[in-house]
Amino acid sequence: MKADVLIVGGGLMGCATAIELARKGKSVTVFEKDVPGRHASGNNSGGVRCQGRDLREIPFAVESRKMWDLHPKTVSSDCGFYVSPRLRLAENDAEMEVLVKRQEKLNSLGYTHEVVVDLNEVRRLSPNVADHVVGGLVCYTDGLANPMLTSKAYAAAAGREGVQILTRTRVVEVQTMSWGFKLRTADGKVYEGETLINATGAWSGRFSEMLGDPLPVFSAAPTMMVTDRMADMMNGTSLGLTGRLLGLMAAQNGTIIVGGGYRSPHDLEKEKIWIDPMQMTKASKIMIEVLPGLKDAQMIRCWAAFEGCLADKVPIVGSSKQVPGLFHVCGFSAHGFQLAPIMGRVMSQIVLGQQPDFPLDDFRPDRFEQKVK
Amino acid sequence: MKTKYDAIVVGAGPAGLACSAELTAKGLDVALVDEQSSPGGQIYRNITRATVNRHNILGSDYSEGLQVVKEFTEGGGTYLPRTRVWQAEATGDVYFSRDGYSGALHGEYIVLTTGAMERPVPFPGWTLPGVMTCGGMSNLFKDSGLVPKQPVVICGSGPLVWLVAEHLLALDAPITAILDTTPISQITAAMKHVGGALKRFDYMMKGIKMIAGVEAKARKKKVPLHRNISHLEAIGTDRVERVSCKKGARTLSFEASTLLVSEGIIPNTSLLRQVGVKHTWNPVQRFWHPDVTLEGRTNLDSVFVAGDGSFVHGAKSAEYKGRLTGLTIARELHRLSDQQFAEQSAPVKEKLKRELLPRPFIDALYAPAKKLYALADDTIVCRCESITAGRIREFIAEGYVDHNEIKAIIRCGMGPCQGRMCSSAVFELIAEGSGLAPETIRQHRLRPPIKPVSLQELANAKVGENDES
Amino acid sequence: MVNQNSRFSWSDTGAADKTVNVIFEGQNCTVPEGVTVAAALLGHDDNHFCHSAAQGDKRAPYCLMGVCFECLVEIDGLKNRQACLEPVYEGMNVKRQQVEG
Repeated sequence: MKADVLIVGGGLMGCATAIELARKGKSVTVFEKDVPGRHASGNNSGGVRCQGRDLREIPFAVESRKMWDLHPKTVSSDCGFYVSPRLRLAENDAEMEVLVKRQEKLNSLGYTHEVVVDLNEVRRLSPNVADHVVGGLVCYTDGLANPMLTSKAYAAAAGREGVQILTRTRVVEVQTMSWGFKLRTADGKVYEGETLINATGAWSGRFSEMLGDPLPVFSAAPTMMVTDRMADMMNGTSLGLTGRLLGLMAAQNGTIIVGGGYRSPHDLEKEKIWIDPMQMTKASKIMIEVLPGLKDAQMIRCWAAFEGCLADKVPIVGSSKQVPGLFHVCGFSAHGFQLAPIMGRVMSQIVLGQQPDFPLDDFRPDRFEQKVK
Repeated sequence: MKTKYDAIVVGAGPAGLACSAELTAKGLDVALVDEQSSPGGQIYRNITRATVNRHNILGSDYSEGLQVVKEFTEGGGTYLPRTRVWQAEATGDVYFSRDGYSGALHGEYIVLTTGAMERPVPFPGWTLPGVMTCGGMSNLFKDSGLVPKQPVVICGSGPLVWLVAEHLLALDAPITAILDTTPISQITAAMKHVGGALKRFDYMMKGIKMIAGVEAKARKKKVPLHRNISHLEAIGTDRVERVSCKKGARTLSFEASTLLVSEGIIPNTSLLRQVGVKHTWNPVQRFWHPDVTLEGRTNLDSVFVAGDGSFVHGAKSAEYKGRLTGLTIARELHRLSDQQFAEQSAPVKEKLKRELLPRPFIDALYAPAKKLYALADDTIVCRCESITAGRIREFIAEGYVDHNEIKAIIRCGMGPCQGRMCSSAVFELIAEGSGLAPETIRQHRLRPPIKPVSLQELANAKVGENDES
Repeated sequence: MVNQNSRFSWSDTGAADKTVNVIFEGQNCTVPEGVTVAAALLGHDDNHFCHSAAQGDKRAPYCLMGVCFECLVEIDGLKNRQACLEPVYEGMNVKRQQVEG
């Protein structure tokens, strides 16, 4: 069986890339060992956030944000998206200074999406924050979406574009040929294609080894929690902190989705995650300190999903220097959800040999090797 | 508070009590953790405090539970009542909340005796105040002696229906109807297991006498008793006022301010699944139950399961299973030689086997009826989030065959009950809509906390503070 | 210990039995010592305990064994208590759980 492009990994990055390539006339096969959305793509905290991103990601995030509004057209679903301003709180003057500097830096680069706000505006946005808060930095256009719905909508859109998505199909062997790649799946079938894309998320470190182009992607299990309905408490504004781990997403149904960097122990091989109760304890303490009214809130549930991370916390997006015809789009380090639309576009551009909308130098797969040299 | 034990037993019903008693008798250090404020589980609920009158009504099947409670109490094991376990791990760590704080216990072994619960079967109006399970009514009576004083309808299938009818008739509750939903066809199906059951003639006679007694008394009190009932519906605005149902083509309607329902008992496996105990689908009773040996072993070396939580076999069996598990752990911890274990376990195994003789007959007779989950589209399935069968079917029609994915999109099973009330029905809807074999359908996943915990309780954690970040 | 609104009556608690006083929605209720909050309320009220979080309709205990979370009440300022598991004590202040937001 043959296709122009073979994409391994049916998560958001894989499907977003598949959609764009199919629309540009390429035949695409996607290999997904589970089902689309089974891991980080479908089970993240749903933050569609520009605020607070690494500067290297900002051009991509700003463009991607526009694409979120177009989802009803591009993937025939709103993906559950809605606007919930993301407010990063400063809990002391030193933190406020950090936020002020960030805005200055962004402005100097020509970006205006993040705005420093004083205590009055903080209270207007989020009336229940604790007294010690001194100010914040807000992105009014940030929002939240439903990750499972988004993953399924992307997979369905890919299917409508003629992409073949093979679910529950694990790639067990890759052969690099003079003309491209031969993939063998667990059921013994062989697939051939000129171009191969590694979009295997948490597994991309391991998969890249199999391809002869090892990447320093490591797996992690970001841990999310959700409370009972507490709509009045959040006032529709999502919160982050400057000096501590915490992200509180104001879900439309009134619950609060808690994220922001908590991790659980896991075993990628056995696909098992152990939720660490200390993470819940730590998050609860900070939540009550920031929003004292949350002491009555209930922690309803925790979940975690496998994600691929990199030491410098920005992804790998680009072509392999080792293996011609191989491309990577992975290592989003627990903040790839918002970037999926733009990544699909730039991936399709580089696969087709076109100039990407934004330079991808900061995300080069070989950037880690250079550091060592 | 002491936190390290040889074994942590979760659930103070007959299995947990007997297991703990066996372990303490062998000199082992045991903590028995339970949600309730006194020992007994559901079957022996409030047994140490219930009045003589209640003991009289409930009979010897209830009162004989005092023995196992006494055995545990005299054994001196640590008893932690009103303690909600919200996470357990195969490492032996057990996390709980109690009196406004959270804490952790550690056992070399953990024994999960989480018991059983009523099979939740949605029907129109089942969220109305006044609709309650038969088991719930029984608990209420055991707890407090409360009896309905306004019209009450009892409806369902299984021994609990008859038991509660018997008690309420004895208490002169104003029953307006007793409705048996067991399909006539299942009586024929069950007959092929009657041979085994008749080896426990005493047990069978007890059941037959109970049902005959209810029939006679109902006739005497002019309480209508109908069989082969379907299409149950609770009607009312803010509370149940009437109950309607079908008997063949006929529609029956009864006044009711309380409706008691029961469609059988299923293992309460939330904690077992969270820990990672493997489960198996039972096609007759149509429930998932843990893969457990007679001695309580699971796929996890340090985790044992006993009682009705392993498979619904009733109170006496639960006690025997708990004992066997206790003896097995005592042997593992070198408190019993292999020979001592063989000697002490043999009579318990013998009793357990005798107790299990009638079960295939009962399980077949009271198997969930085929049409039990043929739910109307507007019936609420997820009580917490008010999500209807029709809404769930929309997703199944789109190709969704995993409750976890449906939950992530429409929150079905995301409320405080954590899917306990809807997962059986969603599972059946997926099986119905997808045509997949039930054993191949992914189960609703349980992640900690398996019961909601307040942020204050979590923040007040008395857990190991080796904080790395 | 009789209340017209209740659909249940105390079948076996005579005058000699010990009682405690519980405040439910501002009203004093005398109930037998040692019963659960769920029993106390069912013996005293028209039986609704809380509202569904999604639609706000009235809800009351369904399972009475700690599973259904339909008997949630506020006890002495602490919300989300399962009434079927909590025993009453003298002076306990119980409120119906109100829907957030």
